[in-house]
Formats: sequence, C-alpha cells, structure tokens
Amino acid sequence: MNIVDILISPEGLGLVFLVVFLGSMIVFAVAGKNRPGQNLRGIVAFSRLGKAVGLAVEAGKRLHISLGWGGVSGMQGISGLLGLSVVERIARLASISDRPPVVSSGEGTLGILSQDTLSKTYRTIGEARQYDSGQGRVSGLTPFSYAAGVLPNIYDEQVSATVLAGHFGSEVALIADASERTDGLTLAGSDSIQAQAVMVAAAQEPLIGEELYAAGAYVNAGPLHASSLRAQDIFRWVLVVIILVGAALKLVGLI
Amino acid sequence: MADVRCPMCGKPNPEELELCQFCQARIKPLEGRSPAEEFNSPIGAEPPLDTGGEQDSIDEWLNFLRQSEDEGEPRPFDEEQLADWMKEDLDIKMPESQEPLEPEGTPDWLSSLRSIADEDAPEPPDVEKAQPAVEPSPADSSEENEVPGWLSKLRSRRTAEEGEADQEFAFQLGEEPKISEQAGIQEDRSAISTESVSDWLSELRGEEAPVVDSSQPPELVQEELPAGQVEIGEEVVQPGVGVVSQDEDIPVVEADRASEIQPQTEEIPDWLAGIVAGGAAVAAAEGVEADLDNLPEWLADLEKSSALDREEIVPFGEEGEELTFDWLQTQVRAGQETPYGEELTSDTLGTEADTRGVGPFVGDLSDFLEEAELSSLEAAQPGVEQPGGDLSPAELPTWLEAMRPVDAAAGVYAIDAQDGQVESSGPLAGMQGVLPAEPEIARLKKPAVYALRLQVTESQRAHASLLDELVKSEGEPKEIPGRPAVTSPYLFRLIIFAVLISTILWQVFTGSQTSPLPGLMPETFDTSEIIDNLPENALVLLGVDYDPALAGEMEAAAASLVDHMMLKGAYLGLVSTSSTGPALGEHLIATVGSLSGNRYQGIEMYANLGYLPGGASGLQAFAQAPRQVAPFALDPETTAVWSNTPLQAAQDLAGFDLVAVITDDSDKARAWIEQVQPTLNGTPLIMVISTQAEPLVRPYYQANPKQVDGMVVGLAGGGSYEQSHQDLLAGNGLARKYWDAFSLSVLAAVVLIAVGGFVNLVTNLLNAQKQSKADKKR
Amino acid sequence: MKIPVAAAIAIAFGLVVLAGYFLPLPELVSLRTILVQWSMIIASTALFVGVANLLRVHWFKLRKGGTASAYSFLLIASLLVTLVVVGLYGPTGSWSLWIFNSIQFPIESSLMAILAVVLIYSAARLMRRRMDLFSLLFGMAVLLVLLGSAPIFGIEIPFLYGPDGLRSLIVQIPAVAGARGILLGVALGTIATGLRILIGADRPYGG
Repeated sequence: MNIVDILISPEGLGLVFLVVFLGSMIVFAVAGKNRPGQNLRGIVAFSRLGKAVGLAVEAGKRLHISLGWGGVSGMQGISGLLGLSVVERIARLASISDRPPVVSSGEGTLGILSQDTLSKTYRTIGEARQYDSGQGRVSGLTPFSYAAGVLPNIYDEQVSATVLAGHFGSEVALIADASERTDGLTLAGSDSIQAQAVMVAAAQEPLIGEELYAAGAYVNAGPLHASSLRAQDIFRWVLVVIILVGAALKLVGLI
Repeated sequence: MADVRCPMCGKPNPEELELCQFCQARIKPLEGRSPAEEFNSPIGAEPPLDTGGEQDSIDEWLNFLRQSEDEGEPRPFDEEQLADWMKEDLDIKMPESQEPLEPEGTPDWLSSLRSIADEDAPEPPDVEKAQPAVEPSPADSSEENEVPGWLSKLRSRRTAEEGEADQEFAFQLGEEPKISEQAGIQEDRSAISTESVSDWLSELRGEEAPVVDSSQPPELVQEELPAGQVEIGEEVVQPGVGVVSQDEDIPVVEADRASEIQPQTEEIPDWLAGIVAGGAAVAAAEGVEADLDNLPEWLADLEKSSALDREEIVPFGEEGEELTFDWLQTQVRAGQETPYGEELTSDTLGTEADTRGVGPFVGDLSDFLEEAELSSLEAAQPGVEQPGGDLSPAELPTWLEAMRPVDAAAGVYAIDAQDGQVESSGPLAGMQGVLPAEPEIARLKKPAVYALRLQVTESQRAHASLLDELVKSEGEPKEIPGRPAVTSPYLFRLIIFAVLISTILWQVFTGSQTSPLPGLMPETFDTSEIIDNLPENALVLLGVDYDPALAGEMEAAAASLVDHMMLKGAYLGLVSTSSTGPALGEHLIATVGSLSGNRYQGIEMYANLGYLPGGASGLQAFAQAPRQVAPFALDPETTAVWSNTPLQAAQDLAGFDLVAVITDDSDKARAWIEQVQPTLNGTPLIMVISTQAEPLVRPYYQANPKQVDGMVVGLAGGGSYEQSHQDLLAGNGLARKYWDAFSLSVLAAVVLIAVGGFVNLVTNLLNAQKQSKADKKR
Repeated sequence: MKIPVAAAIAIAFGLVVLAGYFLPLPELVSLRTILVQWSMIIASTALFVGVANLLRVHWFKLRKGGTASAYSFLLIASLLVTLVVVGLYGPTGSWSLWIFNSIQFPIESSLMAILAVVLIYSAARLMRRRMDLFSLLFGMAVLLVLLGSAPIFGIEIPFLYGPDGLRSLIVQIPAVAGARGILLGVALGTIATGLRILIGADRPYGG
C-alpha cells in the first residue's frame, strides 16, 4: 500500500483532516498572537462566570466545578479534560479567596487529574499552601451516585457558583437544581446531547453545542484556545458545504 | 473610738490628738483661722442637698450683692485686709496702682516671685492689643459707677431660672447636660487655654466650641502669669464670681458671665484678674443655671461668711474695693475649702480637669512639670488611689517650695497671719499661713469615680452612636434571614410529586391496564425478526450498559426481548462498560426469569463476563480481543468460559450470532456502534435504548446500510414488542404493567408544565411591567 | 519550551495510538492494541483510586464532625461492608446482589423519580428564567413530544401519537438534525481539544 492509497482511504482522509486542522490552529495562533480574545462573540454564560468568580472571592464563598463522570478517554473524556482547563483558570482567579474552589468528579482518573491540576496551579502561582487534596474529590462512581455526592458539596460548602464542564447525563438536572436552590449561578456545558437538553431547562446559563469547547478561549486559558476556536469555525463551514454537496450528489444519484 | 488619719503620713491617730504621733503633723485644724471653715461642712458630713432651710441666708447674701449693685459702686479691694504679700502682688500685677506697696519683711520667695512677675507681666498695651475683638460690655463704659453686667444679669435671671433648678441639679449629679448648657461650658473651656492643652483635647474643643472672644481676656492674662500665680487662679482658687461651682451641689454660672467678669478684672491686679477671670471661666464652664432657691449648704455658708466679712469691712458700696476683695477672699476660701478627694460630679470634674490638668501654664512649664500636671489629672481618674500617705513631707521640690506661699496667698493665710497662727509642728513648723490640716483631707474616702465624658452635642452624639452601632454590627454575626419553610417553588415541587405519585398509586391499587399498547413499530418488527431468526442455542452477546437509575425503563423495554431470546434457547454472554452493569445484568435475568418462569441460572445458560473498564477504549479492546479482555465469567467458580462450550466456538465478536445492547446513553450506544459494529462482520446488532437516546441512535438504524439492525425504544418500544409477542413474559410484561400509569403521568406532566409555565410566564410579564413602570417613574 | 517528562510520555503515546488508528501498519496496530489494553488496566486502577479518594474525603468529613458526618460514616460503613461481602461472595454472589438489589437499585431509582419532578419543575420554571422565543419553542416541543408519547386515557391523539404522528416527526427529523449538528460541533471541539493535548499546549496532567 503506497502513500497515495493510504491518503485516499477513510483513515487517510481523517489523518489529512487532523493535520490540516492542527496546521490551521497553529497559523491562527501565530497570526493572532498580538490580538488575544479578538473576534469572540459574546457568550453571556462566560461573562457571568467572570462576575461569579469575583463575587465569590469577595463574598468569601466557594466555586464548585464539576467534571462529570466521563473519564479521560474517548469523546466523553475530552469534555472532562477541557473542564480541567477551566479548573486551572478558575483556581488562578480565585486563588486570593479564603475558600479555594472545589472540584468534583465521578471517575477515578478525573479525580486524580483534578487534584494534579489544582496542585500544579497553586504551585505555579506560588500558593502551594492553598492546595488541599480534598479540593479534588470523587463524589460517586455511577452517574446518579455522583450527582447525589455532589449535592452536599453545593448545600454545605457555601458554594456561590457551580460550573459543570464535562460529560453528564440527565442527572445533571439534580445538580443544577441544587445550585438554584442555594441561589447560586449554574454554568453548565457538556458534550452529551441528553445533558444539554436537560441543562437548557435546569441550568441558568447552559452552554449549547460546542460552546463548552470555547470555554478555554473565553477564560483566556491560552492562545491556542482562541486559534482552535477559529479553526473550528472554519471547518464547521467546510463540513456544512460537504454535507450539502453530498446530499445534492445523493439526490441526483451520483453517489 | 474613731481614729483620725494624719493628712501627711496617712497613719491612724487617736481622735483627741492634735498632732500626728508618727510625723508630728497637725491633725486638727487650727481654730478660728479662717472664716471659710465656718461654712464648711463638719468632718465627714456631706453637704445636704436640700438647702431650703438656708434660703434666707442665701437671699441675704444675694441681697448683699444686689445692694452693692444698687449703690452703683464696684466692690473695691480691701487692701488692709490683704496679707502683705498679697498686697505686694497686687502692686506687681497692677502697675497702674497708685501706691505700690513694698512692705518690709517680704519673704525672698515673694520678692523673686515679684521680679518674675515683673518680667513676665504683659505690657498693658499688649493686652489691649490682644483684646480688640472684645466687645465692651456695659460694665466697661460704666466703670465703677455702674452695676457689673454679670451681677445684673444674675439678678435678672434669677427668677427666670428658678424653673430649671431640677434640671440643673440632675446635671450636676452626673447626668448628661443639655446642649444649651454644654455650649456654655465649651465656650469657656475653650477659652481657658487652647494652647496648653494636649492635642486631642484642643481638637475636641476646637471642634466642639469655637473660642469666644469674651473669654479671651482671662486667657491672655493667665497665660502671662507666673506659674505659681496661675496655679492660684487655676487650682487653688475657684472664685466663681458670685456663685462658686466647686461643690457638686453648686449651681453653675452661665457661660456668658465670663465676659461679664471682664470689667472687674480690669480693676484688680493682673494676677487677680487671672484668678477672677479663670474662676469666672471655671464657674461659667459649670454652666450654672442657678436656682437660688435650692442653693446647697455651702452656699448658705458662703452667705454666713459674707455676713462675717461685713462685720469687719466697710459695707458694700462705701468701700467698694474692700468689699470686692472680701468677696474675692470668700471665693478663694471657698476654693480652698474644697477638700482633696471630695466627690465631684462629672461636670465639675470636667471643669477641674480643665483648670488643673490643662491649665494655661502647662504649655509654659518644663516637660516634667507638664507631665506632673497631666499625671495629676490622671490621678483624678476613677479608681486611682492617691498615694498621699506615702509622701515624704520634708522632701518638697523646690518649685513647690516656691509655690507654697503663693498658695497661701489665696487668702486663707492672710487671715491666718492676722490671727497670728503659726504652725508649730511638722515639716511646716514655724511657718505662718500654712494650709490647715483639714479634717476632710484625712477622710477615708474612696476617690470618686469620674466619668471623663466628652462634651459633645446631641447631633454629634447621635452620629457617634450611629457609628458605634455600625462598628458593632460589623462584628456581630448576623443571622441570614432564613427562607420561609414553604416557598412557592417548594410548594410547586410538592404538587408535582403528589400528582405523579398519585398516578402511580392509582395504577398500583386499581391494576388498570386499559390503555392500549403501541402497535408494532418498524424498528421493533426488525428486532423481533432478527431474534426469531436466531438459530437454536445461538450465542448472543448482551451488553448491559445502563444505570441502575434507569433500570425501570430499560428492563421494561428489554424484558420481552430477553425473554424472547431465552425462549429461543440462546446462550447469553453479558458484558458491560458500566461498573454496575454486571449486577444489573443479573437483575435483568432474574426479573425476566421471575416474570416468564424461564429459569435461566448457571454458567450453562448465560455467562456474566463482567465489567469492561476504560469506556470506549475498553469496548474497542474487547471488540478486538474478547478472550483476552474478559477471560473469565463472574460465577462463583470464575469459569474460563471461552474455553468451554458454547463460547468456545466464538473466537471473536463475529463469532456471536447476535449482539444486543441495552443502554440508556446515546454515547455508549455510539461507542458500541462505532467500536464494535465494524468488527461484527455481519452479525446483527440490535439495541434496546432509552427514549432519551433515540434521536441519536435512530440515524444509525435508518442509515443505509444499517449500522443498527433493530431497535426497541423505551417503554413504548417494550410495549410494542409485548404487543407483538403476547406470549412473552407469560402475558404479564412490565411494559403492560406500567403503561397506564405512564400515560396518566405523561398527561399530568403536560398539565403541570403547561400550567406552571403559564403562571410563570404571566408572573414574569407582570414583573417586567412593574419594572418598566418603576423605571419610567424614575 | 521545556517539556516535562510526563508531557513527553503523554505526547509520545498519544501519537502512537493516533498513528495506529490512521496508518494501517501492522506494527503500529499491534502496538496500539497493547496500549489500549494498558489503558483499560489503568482505568480499572483509577476506579480503585476513585474509591480511595471517596473514602478519604468522607473520612475527613467524619473527623471534622457535624451533622454531615453521619452520612460520611454511613458511606464508609457501607463501603467497607460491601467490600467485605463482595470479596467473600464475589460480585454476583447472592449477598452481593442482595446489597445491590435492595440498596443501590432502589436508591438510584428514587433519584430518577426525583429527577422527573425536577425536570417538570425546571420546564415550568423556564418561562420565568428565560422568556424568549427559544424557550417558547422548547416548551412547545416538550409538550408535543409528551402528548404524543402515550395515549391519554386510552385515547390516541390523532396526528400526534403513533409512528406517523407529529411526535415521531419531531423526534426523527428536527431532533436528529439538531443533535447531529450539535454532535458535529462537539466533534470539532473534541478534535481541537485532543490536538491541543497532543501537542502539549494543554497539559491536564502533572506536566
């Protein structure tokens, strides 16, 4: 099998897609190095998140970030990893607070990584003493037991804002409801369609679609977050064109 | 027998002794040396508050004053009655005196004092320059022929102020003075010496009461006086023009009388002017609204002393100077007779604090003297015992030695000198005019507790209390207003719960199965066809990938399908990517068995391959190498099922006859489709999914070629399957059981959402309307 | 840029697995299979780590005291008892299944029942929280799908219930289309996030 055969195979096309995507990310990152945060449309949820962090610090309350139970592998795990970027950023912003943020997860590896992320963040900003391994905790190992384990975090630890960033199911409504009962802000994003459907009704600020993946760009997690967002926008239009062309070709019977 | 404490060493002595048996100091006072003693209270006796019985004598005293006014002559100094040293001092202070006295035998200290006074005495033009703002009072123009303003004011106000007696009395007892009273106090206090007070006090005064011009002259005079003489005016003498305010029962002179004193001070020597003015300021600082009807005992005694004086001096008006000096003597005595440690009210304390601790000379003294002054002020603080008993009587500092005769110049010892009384014992032996060892000094009396209250106005007090409350409230834990036990959201939740549970209970109690089950659906039909076409003893891989929470829906959807497989005699291999999957699989098998009567038990009929960790990765690994990833069954023997029949025939997943996945999660369904289905090589894949996963799984079913060959979707799908296979589960399927309750619950949910949503919509609109109205009003 | 050891290992293994998926080279495929199996072992170990973390969190809560400590005590006691029982009788033993069927199963089912209440409440509350066109559309879709899910008092609502009803139309076309569109966006986001992690721009591990 020569290289051409490999490239025109479905796997090869996928590889080409990935390489082009990565290249566009890097190009956009270099091009937009001096213009961080530009051309980002306003998402109310993220602006409210910034305010919620400030209010929580000022009021001496805690921020709670929930990473779901999706683990770190597969599509489910990617949302959890993205949630860790949010954890890092929020931990930095709330490092001056009396009550550092608490991170809950429903899977062991996410629990370890949440502890690791918090530890690394506090070490980076020279506040290693603030780190407590209890800030990254596994609340339950099944979806509903995880949701049940998160509820005491919200009710008992003076949480003023809850950020849900990871893989959830419909049980996320229980967490959002608990946050609303404590008059806290709920910002919820997930890769799961079912969770998103529930979040629309239950969360104050739901992130629909891929908005969760834009979180890094909006919380200034790094230049590649913004550039990857631009790459996503471009490739989305590319996919739309491909789907429309494919449908048209199917309609006329060419494929 | 009661002991008397020595005023010098503080040790107890028998009452009959005149001299202290320890230090030889005089215990009993010399008799007849001072007329002031006659109106002093006996030892240990408190001045009676009720002075009604002495009203006549007081009136007589006041009439005496009025007489002098009526006669239109100021009271002249009775120089004959003055002690020599005092006369001399009078000359020093009054350069305009016609006959400066230079009596023989003037002590050295007095000479030195005089010389100091000469040096320090202000030049008259300076004083005049320093008083440009002083408005000439009526007394200024009238000089000696007119009644002094303060006296006429006193007379005119007497009747008007009678009604305020109770109020004044209460104030003297330590109650908070009224604003009008305090204003007068502050005015004069600020005038005493704003320069010499410490910063905080001067700031306080500066803020609270601006310096009044009328009080400026006494201040200027006092500032220029030698220290000793100033002390006379400030500490020893509390002259109180007309009315002395030293005692707690003494009504206080109005503040504005300080300015009225001015005419007389011009007629007397500077140092006396200082005394008078200072005394007037002090007296005025007391803020007296005299109620002469309720004058205290000491004031009655004052009248007595005045009567005594009248016997010796020329009647008022005829010998004005003498009379004036007599009056001054009386006031000096009154000031002297105030015993140390006597109880003072807060306002008198304030006055005394001003006159003693922050006297005008403080700023002129050396540091240690200033400290001494301030410490003396601190010594008057509540609860501080005076260490009088520890003092060594013979070790007086030189400055105090120098001051001692000046003290005597207050007037008492002038009379003593006339009486020829000479101290015969103690450290002051041989000296004339020594301060009498007043019995009251030796009184064992605990120093009064004084409250150093700031003199503030009512508005300042209100602001201060407001600030105090704010500060206190900051530190106090505030209760967060608890939510009411029953709120509308809580009530709404309760209603939802009640409605939903009632529909279930209704179905449980009635056993209703009237609602028709859904008809055969295409995806259900395809699924049924696939199972119908399974060979005998087929190998079926059953993925149990749902959560216990959704077991109610999933088991109802899958029970008939599983029973169908069992009826076909399929060998089931259970696997799950969920940690609870193995237990759920067991529960499903048991439930179906109990419903259908098919006894599916043991490794011979099904194998529980357990949990596949790693999610999609684990599933992919299992799809690629099932024998390595899940080699054993979870039976008690942990059987290696892949080496036994019937699984021995399946080398990989393609070796199975059917792969059926029961899941509530579209992601898990997708993982099975994307990771496992490509490895099946034609083996059908069917799915029993939750309703919530349908939109994402259906495209795989509807795709061409199908990635999912058949579907059973939720309770409706399970009902449809049961409807098409009514022999399954012995006709007693779970979907059938639940269907009526489900349909009713759906209706209830629709009603609740519609009604609740409408109410919330209307409420939101009304709130928005109110808000817009409120915005318009603003 | 200094790349820590952990990041270098993560990047290297990620590239190998990715290459093994796209490039049909036998060596790469076998290596990828091995690595994926390792990931399963690591994941199962992570489950124990999760259990240990859960135990630790509630142990500290128990030591801290307070009203919530009773729940922590209950959790720790249940965990230890379950470990002992499952260790003795196996995961599918009768006592193990008794614990599951009698405790975990009903508890989680009850949580699901609560979820039903919460979802109804949230749907009704949506009109107060966000009153806009999309919320109205959302509410209408919910009501239509619910009404088409089952016959009401045995009466099948025409044009709404059944395979050809409005409910099926909504679920099978607009809902699927929307879900697909969302999934495409999610997939793009997943790719972007995966690539950032792969090149070490995002290091949610100890690097």
